[in-house]
Amino acid sequence: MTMIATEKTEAERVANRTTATPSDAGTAVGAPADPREKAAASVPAPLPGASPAAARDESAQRAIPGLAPSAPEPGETARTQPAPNPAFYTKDLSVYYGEKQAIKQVSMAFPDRQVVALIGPSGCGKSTFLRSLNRMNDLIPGASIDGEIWIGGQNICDPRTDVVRLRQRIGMVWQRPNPFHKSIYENVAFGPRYHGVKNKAALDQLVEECLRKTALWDEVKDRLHQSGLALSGGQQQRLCIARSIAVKPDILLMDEPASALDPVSTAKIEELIAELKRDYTIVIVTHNMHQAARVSDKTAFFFLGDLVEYDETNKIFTNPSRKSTDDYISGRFG
Amino acid sequence: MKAKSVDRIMTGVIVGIGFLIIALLAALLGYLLIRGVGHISWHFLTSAPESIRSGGGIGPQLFNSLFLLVLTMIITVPLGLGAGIYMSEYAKQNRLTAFIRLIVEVLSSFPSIVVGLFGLLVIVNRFGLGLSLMSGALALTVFNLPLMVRITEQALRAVPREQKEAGLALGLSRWRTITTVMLPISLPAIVTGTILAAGRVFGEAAALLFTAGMSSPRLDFSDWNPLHHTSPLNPFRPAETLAVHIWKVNSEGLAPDAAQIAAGASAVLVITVLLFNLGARWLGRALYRKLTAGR
Amino acid sequence: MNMTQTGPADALSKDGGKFPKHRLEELRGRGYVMFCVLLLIVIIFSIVYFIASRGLTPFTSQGVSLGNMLGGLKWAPEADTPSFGALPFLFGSFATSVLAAVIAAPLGICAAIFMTEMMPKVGKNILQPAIELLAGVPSVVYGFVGLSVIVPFLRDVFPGQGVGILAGSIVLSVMILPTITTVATDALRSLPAGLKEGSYALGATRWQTISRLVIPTTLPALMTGVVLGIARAFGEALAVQMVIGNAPHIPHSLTQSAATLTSIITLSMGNTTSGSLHNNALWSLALILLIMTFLFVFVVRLLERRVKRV
Repeated sequence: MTMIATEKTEAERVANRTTATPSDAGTAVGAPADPREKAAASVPAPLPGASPAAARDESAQRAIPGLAPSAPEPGETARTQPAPNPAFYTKDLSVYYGEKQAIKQVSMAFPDRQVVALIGPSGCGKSTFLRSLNRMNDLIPGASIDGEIWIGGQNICDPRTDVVRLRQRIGMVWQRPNPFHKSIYENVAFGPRYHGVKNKAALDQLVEECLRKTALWDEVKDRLHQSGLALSGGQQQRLCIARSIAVKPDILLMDEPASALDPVSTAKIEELIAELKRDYTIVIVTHNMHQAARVSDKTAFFFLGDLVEYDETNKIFTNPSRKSTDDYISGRFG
Repeated sequence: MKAKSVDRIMTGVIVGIGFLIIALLAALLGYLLIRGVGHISWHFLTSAPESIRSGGGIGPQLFNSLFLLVLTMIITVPLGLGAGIYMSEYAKQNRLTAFIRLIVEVLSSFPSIVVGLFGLLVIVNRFGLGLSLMSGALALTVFNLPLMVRITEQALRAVPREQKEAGLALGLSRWRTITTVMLPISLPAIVTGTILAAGRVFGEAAALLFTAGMSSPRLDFSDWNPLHHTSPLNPFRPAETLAVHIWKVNSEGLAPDAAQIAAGASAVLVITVLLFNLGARWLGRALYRKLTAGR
Repeated sequence: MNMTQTGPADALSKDGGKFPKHRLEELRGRGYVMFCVLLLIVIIFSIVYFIASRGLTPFTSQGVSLGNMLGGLKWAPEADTPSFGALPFLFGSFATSVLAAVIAAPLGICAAIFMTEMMPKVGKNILQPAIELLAGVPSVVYGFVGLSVIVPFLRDVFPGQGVGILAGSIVLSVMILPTITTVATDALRSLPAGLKEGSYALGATRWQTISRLVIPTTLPALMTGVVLGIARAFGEALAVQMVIGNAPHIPHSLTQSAATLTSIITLSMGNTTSGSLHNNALWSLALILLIMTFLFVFVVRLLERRVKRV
């Protein structure tokens, strides 16, 4: 299968040099795993993009090809249907805190522009897993990582990875809203200005665009220069989302983004997630099973550092393959 | 019920001691102010001291103290911030860091007279800066640096982790995250700590005896060219500060009103330190409000 | 599988060839903070080096024996046959600082108990700011008050001039009170609440709880504060020098003129020529001060280790 994938990619590369096609990765990951299998199987052993040439070619155009808007050839699409192309995937990812293994060899693929929910009882490692996807766990003393995370033909667990660049492409939203101690405008403009948007008009436009996308514009347009901390909790959280999409990431990681909010604000955030998935691949950690069911396309159930089950959200919540998943979502533990 | 009565007695004793300390401070301040404030006048604050006659002032000393403070802080703050940032954000948990921590602790517990002697040996003689404001400022930097490092480190550590992560998640370098996200948040704490440290510098004398000197040349307060010898702004002239002056007047003052001058100068010194104290709290709170609430 | 080794020239990998802006600023920032830390290290090593090199000269090349200096009673540096017995100064330094701690420790610990166990409100609003202000008062002001209040008072009550170890200790005890109180307060505050509640539940009175439980549990931390106070008192120069009388001999009473290491350095350093034996002997005294500082830091570290174990 790998051979085929590689050949296909090579051929494609020759045929259409300008379009970065993520089909190699797509092909390799293949059809969704047999529901009876452990979810880990959804990433096959032979790695896609193992051909350096292909990887180089893609990266020359875009570092994260899987995320580029692309139209796979009809045949290709048909062959890989119904699997959406993965934006990125992990392979045998383990995270350790000192001696303790918090994540045990998790392999999973995240489809492009879909919402994946990570659920599980507290301490199951879902937040740790999320935080390792943009190497944020590096900050915790004693934390170490083993395995691979492939984003756009690049294993970001490689020590040579430029994590600063990486994080620009992966937005993050935290449990507690954490706007900068700056004005609303500055909160959004801060990232893009650092990344080189100097033109005042362009910046103004970008701020408005991001605030509109997060449905905040009408609420704050008259007080853009007030402190971001003066907003309500729900508004602050949406401001944080606006802040992270302002640097144009491809992926959004959300760590229980609504757990500190009231029901109305929570509903707004959930609406927002549904909107945002048109443009971003979203991974959301949540404690709230109803929320996972409402917002996500796929759901992964973590327990004690293991990925127990990973499947379409519908499937997980109506007909899980594993008993422990069933027990958890029906509230028998956790 | 013996235990009960012992308890009552000891409670009384401890409460008594608590109020005794409060009374002690009140008495100390009261004494200094009552004895000193009567002697403070515009003339006293602005005119030059007299060595034998009475009626001398503390003008040059007051100016020297303030100027020296500014010089010291200009040198100390950037260095202290840098080392504090290192300790809080870059230092790994290893032997080297433990060693640096030990060094900061040792440096902060050196007696100020020893720091002054080091200044005499290295800054005054070896660097050839002579007994001058600059030598004094460098000696006070050595004396003040460990405190500044600790203030910065603690202030940065108090910044919520999510703030730092938010900066990094936007694709900012570590350095940029520290300077543009974390430092502004920790600013109130750093400012408060710095002003308190400044109060300490303002009252320091032992480290200055052999570095800034115990005499002040005639100053021409109309000449503001820092290169001229008699200019008050010349950082390479010897300069007796207010604290040193108090010490000198007390131990070898010949003027008939030496006691009054010492009392007046002490009152000025204490009032200034009080102002630093109150100012630090007020400014810290004001900055905090400004940075967290709307503009 | 070792695709990373074959190294696709990728924007996310470090060997991308170009030197990105963020890496440059990171390098510059890191360089700057490293420079600051390096400066700290250089400063401390040069302090030790320079003071030691001067302070050891009398022993290495000017014929003064270490035993004579540490054990000698006679300090006569300008005599025809100069002698450098520093014992009176060592005695004076130790006596004033230990006595100061003996006065200040009970007061400071009581103040801490007052603030944490008895009247937290008064403590936080009045006593704590008072202690912080005491810490902020410059040492020459303490010296001035000592000279104009304490010395005359002692002169009236005791025979002699009023100056001496007692006057020095009283002044120093006020100066180190904040140090002892602050450390003790922190220690008492960090005590788990359940511990005290357990004692009260057993029917113990407040004083029984404090004397049998709180103080024994926090003893290493309380001692840390006391040692820090002694260290500060030992190194204090001007306030002591103003009230101790500066007579280079071991006094027969607490109200007789005496001297300390810091007071003799303060007085004589300016009046001796650099390089002379007298001058170098003063550097030896400074070296002793320096070594004592290391010793105090060492003791504090030992005590802190015991605090952590508790």
